[in-house]
Amino acid sequence: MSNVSILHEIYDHANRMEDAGIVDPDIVLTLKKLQGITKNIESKWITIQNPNSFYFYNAIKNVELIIDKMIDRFYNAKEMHDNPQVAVDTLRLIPNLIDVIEITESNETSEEVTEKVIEYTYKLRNKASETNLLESEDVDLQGIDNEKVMKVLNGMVEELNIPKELPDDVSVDDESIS
Amino acid sequence: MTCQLMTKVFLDTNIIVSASIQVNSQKFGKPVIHPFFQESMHLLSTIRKKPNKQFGISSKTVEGETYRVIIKAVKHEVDKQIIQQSNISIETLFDEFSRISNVCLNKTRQLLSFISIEPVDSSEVQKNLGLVEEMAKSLKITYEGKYINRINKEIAAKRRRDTTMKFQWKTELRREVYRMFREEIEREAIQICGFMSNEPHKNKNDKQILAEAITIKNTLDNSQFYIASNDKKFFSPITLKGGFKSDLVTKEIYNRFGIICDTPKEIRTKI
Repeated sequence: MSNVSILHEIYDHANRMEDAGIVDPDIVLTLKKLQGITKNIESKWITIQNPNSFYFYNAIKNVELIIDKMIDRFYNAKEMHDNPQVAVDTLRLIPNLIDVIEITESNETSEEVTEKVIEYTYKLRNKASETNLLESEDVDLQGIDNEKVMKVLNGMVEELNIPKELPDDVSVDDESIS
Repeated sequence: MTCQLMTKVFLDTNIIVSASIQVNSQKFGKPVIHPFFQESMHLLSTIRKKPNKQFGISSKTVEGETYRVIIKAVKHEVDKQIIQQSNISIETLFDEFSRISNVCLNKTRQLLSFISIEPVDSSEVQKNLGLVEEMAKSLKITYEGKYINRINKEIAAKRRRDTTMKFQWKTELRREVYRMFREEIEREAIQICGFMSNEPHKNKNDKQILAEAITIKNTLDNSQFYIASNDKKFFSPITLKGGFKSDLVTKEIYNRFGIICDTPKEIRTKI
């Protein structure tokens, strides 16, 4: 079964749940299958020696984290009265998940494709935020110290290329006054 | 009946990224001490307190560019780590830095929620991009030759002559006046020289952002429209010691499109 067809299976399943208004926990099995696939794609980008690998890894890692959250919500849907909202939220996210999985499955890493993967990741996370399918910051930061975060922030400062103070004294030649 | 002007502040990418760095660095214990970041944060705080949600605005291009700057900075750090530590586990490195980028971006998203990302008609943007290109071309034609050394000297000499010819000034004084005008010209040239050194490739994104801002402004009936930016080679004036401003590009944007561009610090005093 292709990776995208698993997403179609999840889509059909979530659709049926929305229509019935009842969450079917069996969807978790399919989501876990998809998670296995995302792990394989992650491994591929770790081993590929390509200057843009990180962008592709980051994209598929986000799919994995979002599916984690999805599984969590499907498990707890009954207790949390999240039924059938979690199915509706899943449906809304499927097109973005397809975009990211398709682009990270391919081995194409041209600048154009890299720009696309950055864009798809940003759109996926925006949609996941709207649909309450993003992990909390505490989960994201588990085992990471502040120093590492500060390194990234300093990297951003460099990227911004802050202008240095402009010189006030402008030295000029004398005009030859004849 | 007086018609009240509606105020809109369009935020450039560097304002959102700077504010985002400031918020994150405060959270992780080491706030960035630099006016560039602090002023951006202060402007966003001011906008946040305004009752009108659409007081602070931006565009999809800025939103996307903000994300790009952040993720590219993270990637830059990943590359540095790989070079510095040859035996580092790529898996751990990628995993940690991917999660860090998520945390940074969460804060950015929170900041963006206080401003309105305005939709733009792409055909209108294209039309306005043409006008922006026309402005760039005109700036180039007008100023390219004017500020190279020889002509620069000629302008200073002319200004000196205009000032001193009425009186019998001593040579010493004439030299001093000439030097003063040379300095003045050097200063007024700083922004336009920066702008021209970025033409055309490095100005591409700024032109797109300006075209989107013009498109949004044109949909508003009666507005005081600002662009807040720390980019002093395109949008905001460069203020030198003594209060002298190098702002030929900023003035041109205002004259052509009625948009006031300035730094977050200055805009905060105006809104």
